[in-house]
Amino acid sequence: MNARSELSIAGVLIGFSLLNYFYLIPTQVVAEGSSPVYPMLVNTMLLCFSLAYMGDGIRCWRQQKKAEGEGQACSTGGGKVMMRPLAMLVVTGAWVLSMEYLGFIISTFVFLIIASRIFGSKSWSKALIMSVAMPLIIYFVFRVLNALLPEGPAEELINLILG
Amino acid sequence: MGEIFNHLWDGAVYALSAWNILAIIIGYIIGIIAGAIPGVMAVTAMVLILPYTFTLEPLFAISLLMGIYKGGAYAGSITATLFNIPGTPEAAATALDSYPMFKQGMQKRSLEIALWASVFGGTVSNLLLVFTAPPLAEVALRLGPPEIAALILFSLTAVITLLGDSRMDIWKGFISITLGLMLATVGLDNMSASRRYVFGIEDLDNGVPFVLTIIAMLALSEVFIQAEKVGSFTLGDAAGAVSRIIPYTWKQRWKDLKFCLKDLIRSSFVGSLLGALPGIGATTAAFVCYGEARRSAKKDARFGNGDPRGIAAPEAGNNAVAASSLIPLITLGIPGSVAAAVMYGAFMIQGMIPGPMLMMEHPEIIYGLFVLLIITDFLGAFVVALPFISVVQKIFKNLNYSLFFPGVVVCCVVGVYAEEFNVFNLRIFLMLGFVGYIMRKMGMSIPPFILAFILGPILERNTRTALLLSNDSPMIFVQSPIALGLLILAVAALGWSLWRKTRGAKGVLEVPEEFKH
Repeated sequence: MNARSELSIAGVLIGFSLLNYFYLIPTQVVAEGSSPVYPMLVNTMLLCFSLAYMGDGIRCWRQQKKAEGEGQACSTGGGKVMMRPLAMLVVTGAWVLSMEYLGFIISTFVFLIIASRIFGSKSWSKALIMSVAMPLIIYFVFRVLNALLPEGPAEELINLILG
Repeated sequence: MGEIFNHLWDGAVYALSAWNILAIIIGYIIGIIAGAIPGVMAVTAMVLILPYTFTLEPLFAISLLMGIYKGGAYAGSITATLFNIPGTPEAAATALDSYPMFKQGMQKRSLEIALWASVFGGTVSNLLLVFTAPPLAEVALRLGPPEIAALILFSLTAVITLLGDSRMDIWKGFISITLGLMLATVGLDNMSASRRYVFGIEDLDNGVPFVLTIIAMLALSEVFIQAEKVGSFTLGDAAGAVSRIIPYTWKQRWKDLKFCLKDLIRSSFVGSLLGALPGIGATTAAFVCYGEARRSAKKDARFGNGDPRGIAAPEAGNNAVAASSLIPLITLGIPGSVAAAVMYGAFMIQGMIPGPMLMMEHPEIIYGLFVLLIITDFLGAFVVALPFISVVQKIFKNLNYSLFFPGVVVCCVVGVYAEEFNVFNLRIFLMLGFVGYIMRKMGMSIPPFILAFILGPILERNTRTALLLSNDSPMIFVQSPIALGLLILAVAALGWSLWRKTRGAKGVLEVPEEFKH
C-alpha cells in the first residue's frame, strides 16, 4: 500500500473510534445499563494506536514525496484488483440469503457452479459433477445425523420420495 | 516427579483406546493433505473440522485436531522438497536445503531427514510439556485478577513485537488487537448481564460465536485472497521429478543422524522455548533454528546446497513449537498461538475450560492428552507420513483449485450453520470474512485479532475484578510484584521492538515477506 492509503485507513480508524466515543458507547453501552469503563479503555487504545499509525503514515508520505519518481520508499504491498474477491463476496452473500427460500441443495448447486467459474474453472463437466454431488452428500450426511439444513423444493422432493 | 509418572500411567489407561489412535491417524492424514496444499494451512484444516467436533468424545476430538496440526507441520516439508513450494510458511526454511538435495537425486534422504527431525523435535517438546506443565499450573493457581490481566496484556504485546519490518506494522498489529478486543465486547456484559453493541438484535446477545469468528477470519478471508491469485499458481520449472534417485542406506541414515545430532538437540530446545512464548509461532522458530545451525557450522558447510543440518534444524524447531505452544494454554488457559486458540475452542466445545483448574480436576484428560501427543509423532510419522508421500505428490500435481476453493467455502458455511443452526450467524460470518480480507489487504495481521478476541473476555473479567477489589484504583496493578513485572516486560518488549524497527535490524535471518501471515 502507498502512504496515501495508509493515511486514509488511519483516518477511518480515528473516525470510528470518535464515533464509538460519542455515539456508540453512550447509546449501545451506557443506555443499556452496562459499565462504560472497559469499552472506553479499549477505544482509547484504538485511538492512540491509530494516531501513532497516522503519525508514521505522515512520515512515510513525506518520504515518498521526497523520493518522488521512485515512490516506493514506504510501500507495504497490496493494491491488487479486488474484482474476483468482490464477486465471491456477492455470490456467497446471495447464496446465504437465498438458502432459506431455495433450500440448501439448489442454492448450493447454483453457488458452486458460479463460484467455480469465478475461480477460473474451464471444465463445465467437472464443475457440474461437483455442484451436484457435494450438496447431496452433505444433505444426506446431515439427514443421517438427524440435523436439518435449510429446506426448499429439492429437499421436499427427497422427503417425499424417501418418506 | 513420581506423581507425574502416576498421572501419566492413569492418562495412558484412560486415553489409549483404538478410537483415539484412529483419530490421530485420521487427523494426521487430513493434516498432511491440508499442509501440502499451498494456501491451506494445517490451522485452516483444524478450523474447518472444529465445528464438527461437537458430537465427538473429548479426547477423540482433541487427538483429531492435534493429528491435523502435527501432520500439517510435517507436510509442508514434502512440497518444499519436491517442488520448492512450501505447503506451510514454516517449511520455507526447510526448502532452502531440502530442494537442492532433491535436485541432486537425494529425495528419499531429504524427506527422511525432515521426518525424523520432526519426530525428534516433537518428542523433546512433548516431554518438556509433560514435565513443566504441572509445576507451572500450580503457580498459575496462585495468580489473582491483576496478575492474570497483566499476563494477558504481556501475551498480546509479545505477539505484536515480532510482526513486520516497520513501526507501521507494530501499530497495525496493535490496532488488530484492539479490534479483536472490541469484537469480544459485543453481547451481554459478562459481569452485569446488560447488553452491549447489540443494536437491538437478539441473536447478538450471546456475542459473536467463537468458532464462526475463527473460520471467517482465517478460512473465508483466505478464499478471498486466493480468488485474487486465480491463474497465477503454477508449478513452473519445479517438475517434481529428477532423472536419477539415489537410494538412502542405513549406514547413511546413521551417519546423518550423528552429523545432525547437535543441531537437532539445540533446535528442539530453541523451538520448544520459542513455542512456549505466546505468539512467536513455528515460522519464526524454523528460521531462527536454521540461522543458528548455519551460524554454528564450519565455513565449508553446504548450507543452501543440500546440507542435512539445513533440513534437520528448521524441521526439529518448527515441530517442537507444536507441543510447547500448548504450555500457556494448559497451565494458564491462555492460547499462545492460533493453533492453540483452535484447541481452546475444541476444549470449550466439549464443556471444559483449559487452565490450571482443568489439570487439577481432570488430570486423566490432560495426562491422557500428553500420552496421545507423545505417540502422535511416532504414529503419524512412521504409519502415515512415509506411505503418504507419493499420495501428496499426486494430490499436489492434480488438484483442481477452481473447484477446491468453492468447496472450502461450502464446508465453512455448513460448519458455521451446524454450530447453532442459525441462518443469522451466516450473515455475520460473511461480514467477518470480508472484514478479515480487508484487514489482510491493509497489511493487518489476523492471528493477533483472533488471540485478542479469545482473550478479551478473560482480560475484561480480570481487569474489572481487580478494579472492584481495589475500589477502582489502578494502583492494584502496580502493587503486585508479578503484575508489575509483567507490565514492565510488556512495555519493554514494545519499546525494544519499536527501537529495533526504527534502527533496522541487520544480520538477522528474516522470514521472507511472502510467508508472513
